[in-house]
Amino acid sequence: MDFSHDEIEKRNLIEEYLLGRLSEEEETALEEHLLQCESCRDKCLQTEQVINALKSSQAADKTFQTPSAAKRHIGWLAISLRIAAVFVLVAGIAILYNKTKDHPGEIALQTNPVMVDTLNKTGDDTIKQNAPKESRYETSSQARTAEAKNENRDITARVKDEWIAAAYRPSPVFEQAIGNAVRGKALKVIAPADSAVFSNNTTVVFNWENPEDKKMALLVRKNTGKSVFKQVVLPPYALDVEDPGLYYWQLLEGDQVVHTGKFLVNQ
Amino acid sequence: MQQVDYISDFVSALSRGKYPPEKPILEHMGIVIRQWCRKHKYEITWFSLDGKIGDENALYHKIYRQLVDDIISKVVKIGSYADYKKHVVFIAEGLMREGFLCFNGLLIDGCNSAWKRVEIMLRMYTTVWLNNRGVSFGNSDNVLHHQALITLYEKISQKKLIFADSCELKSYYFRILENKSREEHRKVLKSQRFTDIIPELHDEDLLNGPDERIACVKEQIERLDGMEKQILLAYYVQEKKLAEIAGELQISAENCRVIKHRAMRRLINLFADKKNCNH
Repeated sequence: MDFSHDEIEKRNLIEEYLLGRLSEEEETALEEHLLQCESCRDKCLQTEQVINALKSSQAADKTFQTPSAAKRHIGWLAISLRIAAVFVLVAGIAILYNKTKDHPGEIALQTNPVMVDTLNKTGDDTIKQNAPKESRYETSSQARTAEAKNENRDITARVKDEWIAAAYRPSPVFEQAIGNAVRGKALKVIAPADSAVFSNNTTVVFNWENPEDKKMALLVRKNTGKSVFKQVVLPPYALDVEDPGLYYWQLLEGDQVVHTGKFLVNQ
Repeated sequence: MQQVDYISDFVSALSRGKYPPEKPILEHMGIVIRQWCRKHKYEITWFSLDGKIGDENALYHKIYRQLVDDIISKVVKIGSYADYKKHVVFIAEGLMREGFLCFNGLLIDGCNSAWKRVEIMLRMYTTVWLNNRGVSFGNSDNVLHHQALITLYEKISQKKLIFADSCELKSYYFRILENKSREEHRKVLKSQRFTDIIPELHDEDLLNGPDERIACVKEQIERLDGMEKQILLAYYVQEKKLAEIAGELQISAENCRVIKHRAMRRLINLFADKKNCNH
């Protein structure tokens, strides 16, 4: 593979090379070209220096929220606002419904999704039991009730989906800790396997071998960082995990983290 | 075919006792070795030659001399660019490991210049690490970074920790940083700064001497408009793809590419042309 000047310019290959985005073959071909082309070599050196200047500039240090960081903050805020909006909507429908109702013993809409689920299951029966007399007003009220019930199901499903998504959302801090390989440690982790999946209400067994024979603390946290278990234990150790979601677990020697792993518990 | 001829010409010239011009090979060697270091996360500036903080150019000269000696004494047979690159990387890796061990020794002894080099690179990585967690570094006064660096300094100098290479040292630092970032530790973090231990030293004094062109470029970066700066920093510091940046900024990918290309072109031209430097 050979590159011409035009191709190097057009595809911005020097920049792609410096950012590590070329394949092995393309890298070799570009390097061979740089060996004999002074102008491309100069351009490569200049681009490299400018990229280094960007990385070490005060602009990178200063209060600067990157688009994704801003989006992440906004993302969490948006989800919270959406959940709050859903509750307001449900409460509003409940108030509207209560104002127009003409029937005794009706179940008020609840904001708790479990109770809403119960409502969904029993709603039909309740409405049948309290069936109004046939009248134009009562017919339209029934239609409104059915409409509110359908809307309620949609809201419930959406809220549930969002709560489920949140329980399985990876934590950037722990993902980075997993990524930082522990070098020079003789620790051998036997279980659980990385990203192992367990069924709900299960027992997770933690097992490892440490030739240095030092006591280690086992720390298990939810993806939100909330601690579920922390104790100095000997392997193997079995822990009952009830709630579904993504969990991170760590082994600590003193206050030094020596291993980070994760596992999932299904619904 | 030209590339094979270039390497063959170089090798045959050396075999005849004629030394080709050093400059092109040294420049090329620097590009290739720095790229290799970026890929393998090695820190090329964390090395020491003869007990002193190493100069990068001196390292390339040493690699070049070793390469020339090996070709002349026929220790290695170089018939293609791949052979040449493999041998250059082999020599560089050996010298950098040896150089890093000496550098580690300087860190244990508390050498200011060595610690300043470590601080410069770790500050850059911490900025990206924090940005990825939605936290800004904040005018280099970040307590977390300073505390992690102080802990690293104490552990290395008191426990005389020796690392196999720069990757291992960085991994160790990030473990400390992660521990410090936990909520319960943050409450007890002191406000002591790393420069209370290691006095303030100018970056330019430590590396290859002051470079007006780099200072000019840094000044120009500060003057970029908001969107240009955001795009350049997201693309080059956080290494995101243009399509992703365009999506986050809610502009078209083509628009994003043009803004990035023009801003980068201005900075490169400024660096290349000293006459345009207004500083």
